[in-house]
Amino acid sequence: MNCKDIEALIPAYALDALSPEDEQAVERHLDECSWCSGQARILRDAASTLSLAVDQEPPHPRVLTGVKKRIAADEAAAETSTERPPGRFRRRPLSVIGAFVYAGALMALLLLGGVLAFTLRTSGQMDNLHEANAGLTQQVTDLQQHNSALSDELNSLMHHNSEMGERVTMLHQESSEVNADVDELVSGNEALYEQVDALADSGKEMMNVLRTQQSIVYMLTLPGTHVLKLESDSGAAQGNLMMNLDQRWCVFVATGLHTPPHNHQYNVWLRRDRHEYLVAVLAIDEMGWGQVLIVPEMPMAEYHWVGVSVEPAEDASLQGRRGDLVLWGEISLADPLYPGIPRAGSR
Amino acid sequence: MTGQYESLGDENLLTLIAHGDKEALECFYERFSTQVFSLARYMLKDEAIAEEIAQDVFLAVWQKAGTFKANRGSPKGWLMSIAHHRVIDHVRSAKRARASMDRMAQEMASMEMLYQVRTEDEAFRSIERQEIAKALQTIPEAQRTVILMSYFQGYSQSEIAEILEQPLGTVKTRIRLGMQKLRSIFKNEAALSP
Repeated sequence: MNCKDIEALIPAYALDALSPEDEQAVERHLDECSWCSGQARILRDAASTLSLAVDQEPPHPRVLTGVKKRIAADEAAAETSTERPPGRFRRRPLSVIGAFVYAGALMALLLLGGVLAFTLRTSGQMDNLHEANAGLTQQVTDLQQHNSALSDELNSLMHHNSEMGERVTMLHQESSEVNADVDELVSGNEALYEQVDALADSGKEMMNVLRTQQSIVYMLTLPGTHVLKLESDSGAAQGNLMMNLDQRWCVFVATGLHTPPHNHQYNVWLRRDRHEYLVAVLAIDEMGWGQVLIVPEMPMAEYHWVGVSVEPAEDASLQGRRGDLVLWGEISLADPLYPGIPRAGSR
Repeated sequence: MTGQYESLGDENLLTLIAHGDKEALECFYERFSTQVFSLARYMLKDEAIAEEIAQDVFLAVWQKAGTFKANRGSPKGWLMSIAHHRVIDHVRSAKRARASMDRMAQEMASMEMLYQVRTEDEAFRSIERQEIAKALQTIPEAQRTVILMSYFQGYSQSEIAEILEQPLGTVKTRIRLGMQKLRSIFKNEAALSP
């Protein structure tokens, strides 16, 4: 297990809530990793603080007495195990000769002891030096052990540092991936915005068309509205000119028209006294349908002919009608209040 | 006991205990026996067994003081860990009717008492207890439940998952989040310690 796995287990370890296997794994890791040990220490201490949440009452004095007794019993048992076997120095009564022999031996031992004491006294300093030396050797050994422990701790920290570095790198990578995702979402969002804008525009157009259609229907239902059906060569193209009662304006609707050539358009003309006036440009959709509102300078009764021709898009008004006529018709509105059926015919 | 021991820090006392100093052990006992005994008595609900456990714990301190590692925790944390382990061993070895929901409800009600501050109760007048009770109140109930079940009732995370009928991962997450919060609350742990 690495530090990340152990870190996840440490909270439960601090509460003693791990399985024995996990607990052993954590303890093995803590022996090697000072950083995780530090985490465990903090959480262990927090857990031990929890124990203060219960009613605090000191134990009966017999508990301490019991501890002392058990320690004494342990020590007695330890001492018994190191004692010599009983009966080795069993006493026997001494005879007179024996007493003299013992006394002589004792004297000799005392003499020898005096000589030895003198020798030992002179060599005492050597012993002290040896002892001091041993002490220093022990200190050096301790320092070496301490050094080794510090070295282990350093290695552990370096190991942990390396793991943290990897995690940081991984997080950086994840972060850049997330950024890329965000960029993608932003661009997707922008595309959606464009679509929404386009739909809104389309919606506006649709609304305009609907309003126009509504106006046309409204006009057709008005009494006194005059409708002139226009003629064409092919018959496929059809056009109607709907004039309102006061003749101030009219609506021209056409269908079945072909898409005009590049840079060309459909112009609507009104003729009066042999002069033709460009009064509108007719835009058509992909189905060949189009409508346009015409507001002429003079009342419609002043005009006697209407036509639609294909013209270059530029400067058509300056040049007058030159292109082919696709729809045309004569206007006859002698009495606008009681309009007769108009005649269609001459170009 | 002489006053010279009382002025020593917990770690120094453990060092002396490791060298066979019985007065140091006695001083250490005076400092922490109440906490050890109270925890054991609460968890086991049996004063006699709690006394036995307390004896075992301080005998273990006498025998193992040399194994204390300062990098694993404070002396108090080490001691309470030994105590908690002993109590849990006892709890787990005892036959328990874990499936009994009545028993569970009783235990949960008992635990609820832990974090309800009752100022009229003499025992709750200790500053430490009030602080800890308040700290426990700030933890979301789901996290508090799993922490109390594991620490005071000795359930492992797997057992808690089984009892609460929750996925093990959920229990682990709750323990982790709850302990993180406790850790931040007890950051100034010295202020709470006796």
